[in-house]
Amino acid sequence: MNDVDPSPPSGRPARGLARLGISREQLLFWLLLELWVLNAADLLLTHYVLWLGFATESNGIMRYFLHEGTLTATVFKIGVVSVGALVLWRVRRRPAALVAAVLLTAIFAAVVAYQAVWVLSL
Amino acid sequence: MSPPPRPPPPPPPLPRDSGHRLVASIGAATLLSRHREDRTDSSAPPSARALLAAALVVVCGAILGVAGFAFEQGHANWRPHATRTSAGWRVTQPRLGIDGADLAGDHLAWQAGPYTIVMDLNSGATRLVGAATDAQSVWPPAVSPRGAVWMEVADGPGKQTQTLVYAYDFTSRRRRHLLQTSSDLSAASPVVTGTTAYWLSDRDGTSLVTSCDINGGGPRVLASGSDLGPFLLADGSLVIWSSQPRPSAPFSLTVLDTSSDTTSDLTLPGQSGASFDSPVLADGTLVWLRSANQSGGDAIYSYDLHTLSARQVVSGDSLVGPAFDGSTVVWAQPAASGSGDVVMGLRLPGGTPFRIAAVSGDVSSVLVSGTRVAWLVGAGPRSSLATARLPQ
Repeated sequence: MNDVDPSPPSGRPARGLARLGISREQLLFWLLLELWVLNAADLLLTHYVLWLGFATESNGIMRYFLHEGTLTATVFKIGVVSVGALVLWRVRRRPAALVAAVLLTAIFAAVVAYQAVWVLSL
Repeated sequence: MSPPPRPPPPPPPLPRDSGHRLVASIGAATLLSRHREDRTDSSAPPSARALLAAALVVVCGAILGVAGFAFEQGHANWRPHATRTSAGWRVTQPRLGIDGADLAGDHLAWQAGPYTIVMDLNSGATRLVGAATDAQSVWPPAVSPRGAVWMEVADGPGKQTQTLVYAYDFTSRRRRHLLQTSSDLSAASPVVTGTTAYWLSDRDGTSLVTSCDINGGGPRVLASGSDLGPFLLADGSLVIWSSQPRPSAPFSLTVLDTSSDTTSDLTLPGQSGASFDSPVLADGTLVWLRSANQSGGDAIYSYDLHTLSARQVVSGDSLVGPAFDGSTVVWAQPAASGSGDVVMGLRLPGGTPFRIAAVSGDVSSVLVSGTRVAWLVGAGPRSSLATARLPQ
């Protein structure tokens, strides 16, 4: 986790963040943490909405794991995102890692907000 | 006295290519410095600015999600127009119309095109509980104070027609898929009382009366025969179904008390040569519309299953209904002025008719439950549902 790529940080995002006084690694750390929490929230809301009987899982892979069982689906979903977050942290020197983390976190936030508002509208 | 410190020795003379080496060493030192800084950053507590920036990403994503939900809801064609009136609510379904409705307790449910919609009459909040956009047909829901039940017919695997029975629990707000069957289910069913749904089905020439708890549990066949239906009624522990060998033949009624698992035959008085329409069972009393085939006049009758006594509630021409909740019979009749209909009520036993509302259109069905009454006006896209409080 603490292995550091000796190449200097580069790319526009890093330079822009530097001007704002934001550490790229710290931002990536928080984004990945948020991504993990949002993934867990997505899992809980998906389970709740499926339990309510108003939705079906449209992701074929997740549908397979949900069919296999709640524990299996939980381990798969949390595991995949955890591994993905670790990989992004591992390549945190690359500007693409930060871009990917921003996009993934924003998408997960949109999905979780949509589901949360839907549940609240019941 | 100590001697003054010696000045540092002068640096050795640089070789000719030392400029490059100096730049390289400065670069390496810078790199090492950055490397150390980064190591320091990694172990340092994350800054508030980074945390705020990360939170901003989440907020932007959440705004997108909420906007997407609002856009989707704004363009949904199932959403009814519900307006509060001095007496209750008026509901219309733009473009779709209202095809059939039921009322129980604080909930009104209706079918609009492929949609099944539930409304909380206290708050006016509506909820889409069924969207059978792929179904060939949907039947209007049946409602009890605990939940709603409805059926959809859709193409199953291999283009075989499948009937699906759904239930929605008002308390848990949970929708359940109770049954999927290739049997033909009667359009007169399902009915629901409490948390138990009942329906009539036909498979290979055998008719079945089946029950199922809307909160789970498998279906249970209560009765089977070759000619069950078309009527199926349920209230509390009582279930009544009709048996009719042919559509035009006289029918008989069978009463099942599920609390004691006993059945008995029921013969209604004065039914020869008259039709038996819109039967309602509530609180041990059966109420129905009797249209005399010869005279053309209508009458609403009640029959108390406990005392086995029948009475004529009202008679007249072109009666619509009845609805009955165990204490109040509600019907609609043409207004004396000749324009529109009047929704009327009468409390059993022995009450006198009272006017509930005057309606400008033609009432096609009436509903009553507790202190609330509802009526469906017209048909097609211009149909509307109205609710009101029963006069005390």
